[in-house]
Amino acid sequence: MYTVKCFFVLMRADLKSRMIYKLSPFLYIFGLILLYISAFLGNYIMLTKFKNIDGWEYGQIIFIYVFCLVSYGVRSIFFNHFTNLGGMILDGSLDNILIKPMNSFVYLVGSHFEIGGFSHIIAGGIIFFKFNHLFGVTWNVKNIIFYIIAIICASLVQSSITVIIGSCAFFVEQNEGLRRLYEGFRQFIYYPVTLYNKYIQVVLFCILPLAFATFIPAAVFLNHPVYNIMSKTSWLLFLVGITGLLSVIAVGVFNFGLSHYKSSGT
Amino acid sequence: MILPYLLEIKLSLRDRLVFKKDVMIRIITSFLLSMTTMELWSVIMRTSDNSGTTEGINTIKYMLLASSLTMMIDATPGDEITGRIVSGSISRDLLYPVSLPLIILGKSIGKVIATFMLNVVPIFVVLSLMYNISWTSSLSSLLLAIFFWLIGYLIYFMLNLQIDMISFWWQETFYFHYTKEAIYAFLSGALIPLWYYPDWLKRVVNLLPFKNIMYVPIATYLETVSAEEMKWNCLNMGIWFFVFLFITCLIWNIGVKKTVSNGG
Repeated sequence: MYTVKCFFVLMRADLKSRMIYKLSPFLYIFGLILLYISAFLGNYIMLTKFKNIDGWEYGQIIFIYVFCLVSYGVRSIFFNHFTNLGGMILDGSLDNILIKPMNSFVYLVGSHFEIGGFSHIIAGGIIFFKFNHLFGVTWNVKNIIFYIIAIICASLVQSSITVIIGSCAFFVEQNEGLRRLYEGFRQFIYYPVTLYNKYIQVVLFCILPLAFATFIPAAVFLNHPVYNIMSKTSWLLFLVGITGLLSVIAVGVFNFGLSHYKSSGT
Repeated sequence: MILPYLLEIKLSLRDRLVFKKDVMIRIITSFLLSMTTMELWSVIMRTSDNSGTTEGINTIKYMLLASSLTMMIDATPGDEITGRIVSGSISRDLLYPVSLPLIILGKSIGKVIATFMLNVVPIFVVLSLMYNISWTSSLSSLLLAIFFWLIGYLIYFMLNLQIDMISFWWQETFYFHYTKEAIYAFLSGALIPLWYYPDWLKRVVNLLPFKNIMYVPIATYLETVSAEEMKWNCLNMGIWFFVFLFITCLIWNIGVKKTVSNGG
């Protein structure tokens, strides 16, 4: 209970500090929304022109696109700070966190919010409501609940990968390269991963399991032959299982790294 | 007279080559970004039975060239003046007997050349081999395309500098760059070839400066523009170049008088 209370206090303090320049956060979020909407419009023109890409209707591709935006947005809001773990280890600022009387993981999440993440969610929301009629999904109570669970899982998958990559800094100190690779591979998951060759699919399912942030959550809702091997409920259970596993691994790797942490003394 | 600016190009080039591990990571990341585009468009062309047609081949070539030019455009620094104002070093820079905007141009050219040599060339060669792209075009088209891109790059540079110069009045400019990137990316043809745009949008894009940065040089190289379009493109490019030059000089002259220097 104490940790939860601290988390919200930290969250409020961080948000307050960002609102000193009242217009800045809004201009920042607005600029990013425009950037994502612009990228989407380019894709939209392409999708309306070709209608169907390798058996994928353009409504289905937009659905996957939205999953990518929203899950990355949630991940950015809460877990973006982990991408900076290497820098914190090098400049010694991680030491300050370790002496706080609360869980270091929770402190890292709570003490720094990336407000830019809201732009992904807003852009995703705009696209979702505008193109909802193309998804072929009936929004009954069951599907709404499934969607909320799928979004949470997709966000946790992206967050877990971020935490694992960030925690590599405990062992290699400079993890900037891994972070950039993650950003590079993330571009693939805006579209159905079956569009790519087998090597990329292996990376996206097994090495950097980003396919579980968009392609698999979409399986719970979309009617595409590639998803016919399981029922929608089974896909959701599979997603929840993988998310749980990845989350446990992420926290485990962070704690393991932290237990082996030696301050650089700077 | 031109020596300090050439020196800035050399320094900027050397700066990029110092961190070898960073160079490698940048190449891999840029490769992945370009490959995403190429994979996607290859599938689109294949599944729409366009892979062997002129349109299909030109689209694949266009996207590879667009990815390559995007890498070079992205190398342009956007916070040179903002950084100097925040750190206070602009007061020293303004005392030097050289033009700061031209120094920034020199630095940008250095970064663009470094990106061209380190990222664009290897990625371009590998992706051309991976997707079986053969580059057959006349020398005159190639030279004209390079000339158009140089003018287009200067237009982009001036646009970038104008946004950067907002810092004379408003010290945080990075979100204005996001807005600029959003407009530029959509209207320049960096995301998809402009020939796929609906007619009404093409008419709007034809009047704006952004297509000169990406679409015009690539379409010139691919020889997909008619003589009539070429004349219009030249006129549009010339007018916008001088309009941007005038606006940049105007903002600079007003801005330096308003400079508030911090720190030091």
